[in-house]
Amino acid sequence: MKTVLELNKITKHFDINKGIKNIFSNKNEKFIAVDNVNLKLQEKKVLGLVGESGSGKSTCGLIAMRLLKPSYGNIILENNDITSLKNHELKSYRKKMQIIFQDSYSSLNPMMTLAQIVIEPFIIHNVHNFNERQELAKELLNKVGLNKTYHNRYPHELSGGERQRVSIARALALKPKILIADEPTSALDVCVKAQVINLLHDLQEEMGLSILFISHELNVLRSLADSISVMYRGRIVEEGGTEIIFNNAKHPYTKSLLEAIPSLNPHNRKRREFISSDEIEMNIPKFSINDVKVNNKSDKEQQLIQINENHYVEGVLS
Amino acid sequence: MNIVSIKNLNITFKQHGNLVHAVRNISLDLSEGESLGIVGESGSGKSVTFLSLLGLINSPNVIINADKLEIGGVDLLINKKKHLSKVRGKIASMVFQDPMTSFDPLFSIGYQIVETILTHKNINKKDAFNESVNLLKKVEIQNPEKVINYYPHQLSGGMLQRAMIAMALSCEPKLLIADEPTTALDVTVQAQILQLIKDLQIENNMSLIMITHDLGVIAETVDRVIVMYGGQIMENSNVYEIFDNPNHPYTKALIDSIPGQKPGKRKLKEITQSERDSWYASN
Amino acid sequence: MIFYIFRRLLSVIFTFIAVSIIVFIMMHSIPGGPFDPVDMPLSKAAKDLIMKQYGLDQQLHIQYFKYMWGVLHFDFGIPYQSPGETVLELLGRAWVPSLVLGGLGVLIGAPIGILLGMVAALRRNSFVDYFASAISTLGLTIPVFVFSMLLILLFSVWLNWLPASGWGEPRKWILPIIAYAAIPMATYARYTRSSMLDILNKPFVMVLRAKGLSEKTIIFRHVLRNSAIPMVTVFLPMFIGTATGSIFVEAMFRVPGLGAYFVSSIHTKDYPLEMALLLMITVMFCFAYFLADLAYAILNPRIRLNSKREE
Repeated sequence: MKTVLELNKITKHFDINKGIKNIFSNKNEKFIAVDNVNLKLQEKKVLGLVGESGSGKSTCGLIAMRLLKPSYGNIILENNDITSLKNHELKSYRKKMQIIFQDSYSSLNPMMTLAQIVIEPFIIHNVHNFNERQELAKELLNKVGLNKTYHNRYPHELSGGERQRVSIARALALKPKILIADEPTSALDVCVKAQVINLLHDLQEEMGLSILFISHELNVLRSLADSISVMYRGRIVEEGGTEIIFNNAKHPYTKSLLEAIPSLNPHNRKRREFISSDEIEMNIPKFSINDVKVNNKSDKEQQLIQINENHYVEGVLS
Repeated sequence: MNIVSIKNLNITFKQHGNLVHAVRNISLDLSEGESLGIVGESGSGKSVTFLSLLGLINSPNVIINADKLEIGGVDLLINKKKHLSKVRGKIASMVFQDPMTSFDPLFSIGYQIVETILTHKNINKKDAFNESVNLLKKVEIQNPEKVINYYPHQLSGGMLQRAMIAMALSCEPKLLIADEPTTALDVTVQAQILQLIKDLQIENNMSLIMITHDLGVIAETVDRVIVMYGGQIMENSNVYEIFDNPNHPYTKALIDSIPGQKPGKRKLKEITQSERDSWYASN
Repeated sequence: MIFYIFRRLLSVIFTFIAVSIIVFIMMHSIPGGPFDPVDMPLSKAAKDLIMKQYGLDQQLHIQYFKYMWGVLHFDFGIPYQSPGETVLELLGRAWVPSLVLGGLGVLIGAPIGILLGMVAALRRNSFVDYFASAISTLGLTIPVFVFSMLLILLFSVWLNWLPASGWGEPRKWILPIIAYAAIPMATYARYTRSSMLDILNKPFVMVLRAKGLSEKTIIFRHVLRNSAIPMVTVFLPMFIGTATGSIFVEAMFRVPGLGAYFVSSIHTKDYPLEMALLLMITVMFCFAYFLADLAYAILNPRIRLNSKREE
């Protein structure tokens, strides 16, 4: 299986703003948003990146797109290291990788019609002649379910779900190999969510897309992702095949995420126990060398341990 | 006595010269101690119904008509100003979706809770302050004595939502209306807040109206469910029936649309436009 | 906090020096000098003597340093057009009418404007709203000398209620104060209206209603305070701008204030007076903006306290 996008040992620091009182203080506090993260997106697969606010998942998505530069680490796109490329060198790579965001309203230029929005990528990368551009844009909009009557409308005339489709159409204009979706369904109602998920399903199969789907909703990922990586406080704490994560999660944070999913069965209402972040840090799973596969460092260091084919958990080996 | 009694509520907005019927002939009753979930998508009229109940719709372009509109026996169709001030915060309280924008940024959390208490109760400031600290404890906020002096921008979404719940419960209302209280929150925080609301409801023997688009929330929290679409009620029954035996195709479609119910990558049920049109016209 | 104040003070000093140099150079760039013949031509010898007496024959930078050295000792020199007193004495004398009339104009106009703006915001799209908007537009667009003239016509000539000019008894102050009040009133009416409307539409106001607070409490305790913060920062600079006297108002009402000197000192190339006036304005505005920023930081808890997110 080919890896089309790899985030290798990515770390990102931010400096903290401390308000007016400390303007002259020399303390340079750093906030570690992403801490030594490794992600591998396989060809034609969907990788779900799940975590709550502050987990660093969106930051990872932005770094993957080189919209943010990592403090340390490499971004490898189809075997090319794009971490330190300058903007004009990066441009040709941008055709291969596109992104859609959570807030569809602010992702679209309110002064442009839908057709113009979808044509824009062609203009930026200087492909196709005028007529081709118009045709392709229409095709793309039709493909995402927005027919002729929509083509000359403006973003504010659409609903949230419809705007999200426009974002998808625009992202697919240059036929990228990789799509990064940063919480595209979080702001949508249940039915519209289903429509967008189905759309991504179809497009992925049709165009052979590899998708990095960032979300805080595990149940959405269950229907869409092949494998899931769980982020907590900037680190990956568990990753593996989707069903493996759902049925056999080992890390306390993953378990708490799964616990929190509401069950759709009123007969089965359960009282939940919630564990605090301190408790999570104190209950890092421990494994003995006999239970796990080889290729793990056998010191007591906290690391991502492979406990099975396609299942990694952050823990300590003893 | 019913805590809430609504009969034939109609709400119309005048928008760009068009009339938009946001709520069409809604009738519902809620008894003491009962919890009711209102499910619907955006635009279904679910929020507008209850905002109008408390007279919170500010627009001059709105027309509200009803045969009966009562909370706790207080008739809200006559003597509006006087009766509303009797009800708001005292008989019925509301919790809103985005806690960040629900507080006045210039006053501390404590001040805003104390202010609520002092509006309805005849006690001195110090006692009100102590009560506020206790309320924060009840909603499981750590270090309530410290937090009470914080300003809204200094707290996270989850903590602010707890504070808002504390504020809503400060005068022991008989009814709590929660409008999408967890939509803006993280998943684990969401579960905690829902459990908290449920616990407090039972503890205080309150009635609860939970407005949401998330059926999962409904399954976990309420006794009865009303499904709304296009300003009308599509289905009204108890929570078990809704999930075991949904009557209306819209309810069925809503349940089937929820992702992650069955293992494995799959497509979900979609609702077609013709189905929507048929439901909009019905009733 | 101390460091912040210190940094701002440094910037005031820097601005002061920069302005003094720029003004000095500009002053001397205008062709001609203070003693050039207009009515009574002076002989060259007499002119040279006078120039020497006033130190105007020295090189520019020497003149500059000499003057600034004096400034540091609060000696602003002697005005050429009024050699019987020092600049400082002249300023002291002339500023009083401007300060009193202009200051009172702002202090009366602003609250009226605020009230007007409040009513307009609370009774949106009503007659009062349109009336208030009309008044504030008029206040900003009618030139102040036209307005002054209208006041004189109406109250002095036609109605004969108030004296048209002079400075002495308080009765004579009424019309100029009204003239000064126009712009502050109009500005504040507009600001208040839009600021209040903005706040009234915010979600937390709906929450306040849901809590059961009376509309009065909501407006006076919450809405006003939120609306006021941006308006506070506008106040001091406006005060400074008005309280230094308007040449138009003072001309129309024959008030012996500071306003006229601003223009005349350039005209007559009265260097010491020009410098003193401009330096004074610079310092006052610097402080006004500094205090305004400070007030804003103090009043707005989001700036005053760092964002400490607790979990």
